[in-house]
Amino acid sequence: MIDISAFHEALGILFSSISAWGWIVPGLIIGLVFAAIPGISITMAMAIVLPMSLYMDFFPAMVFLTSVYTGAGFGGSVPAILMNIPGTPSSFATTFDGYAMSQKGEHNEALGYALFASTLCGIFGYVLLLLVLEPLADIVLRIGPVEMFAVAIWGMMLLGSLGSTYISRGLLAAALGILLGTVGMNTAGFTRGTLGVPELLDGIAPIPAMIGLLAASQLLSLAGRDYIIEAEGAREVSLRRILKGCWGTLKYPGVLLRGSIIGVVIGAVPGVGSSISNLISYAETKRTAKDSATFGKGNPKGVIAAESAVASGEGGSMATMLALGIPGGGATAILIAAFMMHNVVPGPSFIDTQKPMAYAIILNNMVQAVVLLVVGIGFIYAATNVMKVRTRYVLPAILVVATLGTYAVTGEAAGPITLFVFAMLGFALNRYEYPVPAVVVGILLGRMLETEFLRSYQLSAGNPLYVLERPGAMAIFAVMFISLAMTAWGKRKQNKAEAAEAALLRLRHDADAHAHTTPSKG
Amino acid sequence: MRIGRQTYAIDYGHLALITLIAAAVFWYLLDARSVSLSVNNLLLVQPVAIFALAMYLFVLPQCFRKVDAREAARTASEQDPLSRNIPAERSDMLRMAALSVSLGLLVLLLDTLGFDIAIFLFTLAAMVICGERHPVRLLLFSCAVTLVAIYGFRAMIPYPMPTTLL
Amino acid sequence: MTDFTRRDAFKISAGGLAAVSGMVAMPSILRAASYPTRPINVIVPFATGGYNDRLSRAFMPYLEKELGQPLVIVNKPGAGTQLGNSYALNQPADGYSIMCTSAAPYIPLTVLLQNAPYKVEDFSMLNLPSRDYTLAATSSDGPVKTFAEVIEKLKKDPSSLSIGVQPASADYANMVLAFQAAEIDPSKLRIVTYDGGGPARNATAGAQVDVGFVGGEGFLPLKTKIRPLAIFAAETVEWYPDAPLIGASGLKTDFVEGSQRGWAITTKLRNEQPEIYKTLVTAVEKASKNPKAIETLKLQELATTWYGPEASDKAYLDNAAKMAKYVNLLK
Repeated sequence: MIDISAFHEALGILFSSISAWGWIVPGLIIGLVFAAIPGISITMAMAIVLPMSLYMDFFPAMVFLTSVYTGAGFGGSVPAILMNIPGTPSSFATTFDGYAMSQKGEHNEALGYALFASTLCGIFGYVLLLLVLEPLADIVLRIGPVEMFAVAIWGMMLLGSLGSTYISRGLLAAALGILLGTVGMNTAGFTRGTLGVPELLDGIAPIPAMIGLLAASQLLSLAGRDYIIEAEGAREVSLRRILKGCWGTLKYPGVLLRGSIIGVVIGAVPGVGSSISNLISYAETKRTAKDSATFGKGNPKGVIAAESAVASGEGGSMATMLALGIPGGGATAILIAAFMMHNVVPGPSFIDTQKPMAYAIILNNMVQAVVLLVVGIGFIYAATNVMKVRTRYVLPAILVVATLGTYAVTGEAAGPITLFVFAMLGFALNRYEYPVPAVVVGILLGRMLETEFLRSYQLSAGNPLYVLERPGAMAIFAVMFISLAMTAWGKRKQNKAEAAEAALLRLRHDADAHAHTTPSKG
Repeated sequence: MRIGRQTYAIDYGHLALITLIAAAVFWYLLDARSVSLSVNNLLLVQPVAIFALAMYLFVLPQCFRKVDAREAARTASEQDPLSRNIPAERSDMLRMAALSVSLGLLVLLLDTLGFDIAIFLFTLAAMVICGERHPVRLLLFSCAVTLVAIYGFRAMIPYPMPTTLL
Repeated sequence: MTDFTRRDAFKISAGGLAAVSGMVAMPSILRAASYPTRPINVIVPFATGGYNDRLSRAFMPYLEKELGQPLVIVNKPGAGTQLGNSYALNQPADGYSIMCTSAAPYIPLTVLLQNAPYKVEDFSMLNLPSRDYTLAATSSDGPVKTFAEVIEKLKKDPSSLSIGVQPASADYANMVLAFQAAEIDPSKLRIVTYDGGGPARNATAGAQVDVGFVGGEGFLPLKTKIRPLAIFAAETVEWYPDAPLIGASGLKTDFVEGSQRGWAITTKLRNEQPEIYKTLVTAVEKASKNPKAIETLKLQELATTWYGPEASDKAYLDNAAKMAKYVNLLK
């Protein structure tokens, strides 16, 4: 577990280099601003400050870079809550309840919930990391395709909680999303559906597609409105209400804990990161909640669940990076580059020889999470003022930023074109009551689903009994099924209440349902 | 359309959308199969595509609705402020369509006009569509957006942005 | 990209921009005289964090010193470097875009397998300091100890061991060649495909697969977690002397060399701007021979060896020819 003498030395490093702490605030602000711009990724923010860190000493450089990382982890949720545009795929689940809350005029509270969940779980993730740094690294390498396939399936179960009037349309949307996610060259080297366009060889760029689908269903429809929130009284910017949201987070320790554990474990797996853990955390929280019917309509627990998984994921991916020297994603790849530029090679030998330094970096990240609370409140306060600007100014500006953001993803017109094509698709799907988020989930997870399924098949030579040799995968499936069964069993009473509500809904779409059951005769 | 005693209206837009989706899925399946019939290629794609086509057949009848039901559905969807944000009024629909067209033009003309001119024109058009009529405000705000966007993104992203004037 | 020329045309016809059009029309020799006058883009057709990205960033300060202008790293990942390569070819041949890439085998592979719209000869090498070789390895606590043991087991039962490899790569070709030489039918093996060297290495180190065939250099940080079985090189590899050579396993097999990484430009630039080309070659040579650069890059396990443009080009074209010879193994 934790090495006490190294821990003491780490505290020594931490307090003997107080001047390095000065980099925390600028780093956090850079991270927050970059991540709040849709399409600009954490990786890009860190790549920009990387050259600056070259001229610093090792520890201040690490403080600076990891501060950007910490700030960026939260920044994405600001546009997700205020405008339904997730800045990164990892804040996708935040939009479900975050945007609904802000439509109800509760944007102050929603951002408060998100910020505090981010802070608390960021710290929690690092505490966990401090305790299990080395064992975690070994576990991570043992996670194979079958386990990852189980995780991907778990992510897909979010679909069940998206709620749609028509199950058939939801399933069609999800299947379409998955197929879109598999376009391009698959892991075995087969190329499908590219129409000979080289840009599609690596598949449809998920971030522009996601922004397009969601922007169409919400942003473009704002054109007729005068303000993003129509009710005048609801547009206020209130520090008191932000703090109320922060405080309210503490009422849901269970949600925070579950989100953190899901976030740390999945965040530690190389190449996966928080873009799936937020979906799983959201789906699990919704499924086990007593008031699951109000999810998607502005339930703060939805925001907390999503944000807690994102924030704690940072700790997980840092663990993989420090202990193994392999990057979990783009951000940790930049961190490794920064390590190397200071002639430090992360990995097993780094942990063996420089444990105090590793601990000092982890401890400093906890400090950053606390500072994020203060800087974040200021940032939210400034950002929320967007609500007070008339749409005729906000909307053109946001659309320009989103378009340039998608350009930043691909570096050429392919990004903006993807944005536009998917905006039109999203518009049509929304018009005919297809759940657009189901398509997004499919696009985000389709590739992973295929890759891991295929590798599982290759490993087992098609023998399904192979899963018996993988206790990890069996455990994941078991947890998944037990959790499903328990909720199904425990919710019978609640289902009656939901049935009553569904009856109301059915009344609304009575005719459709009727037409649906009547086979077409002509 | 009349079937028996019941009058049905065909929702042509919906029919077109799902038929287009089904056609795309079918083409994708054929394209994948033309590359290789190996399991390594079709393991996930083939079953999901077939599933999607099955769902198409399932959704198909929903395109045919009873006439009187239409009105009821429309008023109901207006009451839900969250899930369906498609504006019902004609003028709002026109605005959305105009905004979509402008966005399409922006995307297509970015490289040809240069990012600066394309962004300036788009901002101008989008502001007019959203209701701004004051010429000074239109020009000033469009200029501001263009300048901030170009210089801001130039500082942030590692790719060159072709511009004409800036 | 045709858009660029259209935009250029627009630029000129926009009028009032005499200065701009004047510059376009300026004889190339005059522009070359003062080269470089502005920052130079380094196109890296891989994502951040990979070998080329690290190499370019580590080498950057020393090359900047020789050129007297800052370098800007442009990561253009995608389609097995095809997007980055096309992007580089579409830039004006003015010396303000150079490449840092795994020239071989990626450029030949995009041409052979993806019908990329360019030729292998469209790229010219400045220097390819990094020479990688396919390494067959297993997890350090795995049951297999030697490559001969792998062959023996697979001969008895081709599905007894799982193999991790990247499809359509030099590693894949080497794997097939080795097993063909051992008279094992590759189609009966349990081959698990990975879409990059990184995931394949992690799977090998974590014992997800029994044997991994991946470029060896990337394994160095994970050295303690793996056991090298055979390296596909003719003589002992400087950066991994412990790795037994494939020849030592008793197997007589031909093999292709792994990635050759380093600095390249478009052939168009070399032919049209000989002055700029000379400036670039000199700068890379001086920077590669800078003792401080050598020391710093060595610490990061990055190569600086100076082979020069002729030797690098030859190695690159030889690799391309060998890839063309074995392309059928990859399909």
